[in-house]
Amino acid sequence: MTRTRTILFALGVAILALGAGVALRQVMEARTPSVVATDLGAPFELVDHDGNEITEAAFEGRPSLLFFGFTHCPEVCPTTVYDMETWLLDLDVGEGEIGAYFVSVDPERDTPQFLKDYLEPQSDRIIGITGEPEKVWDMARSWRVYWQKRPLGEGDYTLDHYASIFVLDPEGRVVDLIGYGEDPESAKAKIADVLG
Amino acid sequence: MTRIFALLLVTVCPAYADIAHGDLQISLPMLRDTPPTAPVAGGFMTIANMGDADDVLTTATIDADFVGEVQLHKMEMEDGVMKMSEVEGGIAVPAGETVYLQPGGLHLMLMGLSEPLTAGEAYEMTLTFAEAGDVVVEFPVLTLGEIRATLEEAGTMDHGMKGHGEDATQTGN
Ligand SMILES: [Cu+2]
Repeated sequence: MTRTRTILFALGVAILALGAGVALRQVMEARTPSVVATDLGAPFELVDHDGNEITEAAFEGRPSLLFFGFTHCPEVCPTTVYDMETWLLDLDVGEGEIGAYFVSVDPERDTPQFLKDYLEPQSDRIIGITGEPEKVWDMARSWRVYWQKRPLGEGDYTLDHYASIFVLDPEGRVVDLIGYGEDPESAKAKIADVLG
Repeated sequence: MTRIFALLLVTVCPAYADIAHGDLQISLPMLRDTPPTAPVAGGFMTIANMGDADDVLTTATIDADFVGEVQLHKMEMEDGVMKMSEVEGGIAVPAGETVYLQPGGLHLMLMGLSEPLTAGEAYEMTLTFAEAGDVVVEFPVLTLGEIRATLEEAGTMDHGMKGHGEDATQTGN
């Protein structure tokens, strides 16, 4: 952790994000049923995986699941997509009842088409969000999501990234978190809760 | 989607025999299937060192020209953040110990895929150990559901989830 911390301080951005994640988690673990973090998220103008404009309005009017990841991720992201789809099928959640979003924190590689080709075979309802890199990163920062590039030789890289799913109420506020590797029953209970 | 899930229910995970190579015993080799455009894939196995000399898995290569290279990786969860990196110097397999390459922990990382890995296929991989030398192992491609079921059946799931910290109080289904 020490070395990582130093890098984070140098970057100046992420330590706040990490702290927010931990604090948020502690609140979540107390299972407070109320809205816990109204200050997460900011208005944005990005594109979905069909190339259509998408804004924060997408998170309003129905509950949403919001995840930040990238397609070059070997495990956490494909597992999260797989699990989200499986939970929603298990719960028999209808098409329009919940929004499910996968924001790429790797917008340089994850073009809308790339996201579409990645997500559509896995799920009919999980919508990819990407766009101009700086705008995407601003949006991710507004959710205090941590990510960090890590080189893998030959100019390739991977990303360390925050791996929990935000559960949003119909006003777009975070009411819960689903951790990576969380028990499916607990994850489904959180989704059922927000669906009311 | 429905078709995939239906298939999943009826597919029986193929039973692959353990491979003995000198003092090493390699079991549960598996590759995870990939969405059509995913450029990376994970590979898993269990390596038991029954001897009294330490060994190290130094490299892995796959007999598939659509894969760029195979790296040895570790993954850890820390405060809800997933961190992944190459394992420097290879994956140690100490004498008398068993090392688990499983989702959530150590894994083989297939990089630069130009074609997907499809469940039902299998690929040969050459594993090179510092002491025991080369061994060729057949890795079947499984869905995530099949991988979880296989690990659960083998009762080794917990090992792979180590290092997940507070997020890993439960394993997957
Ligand atoms: Cu990896």
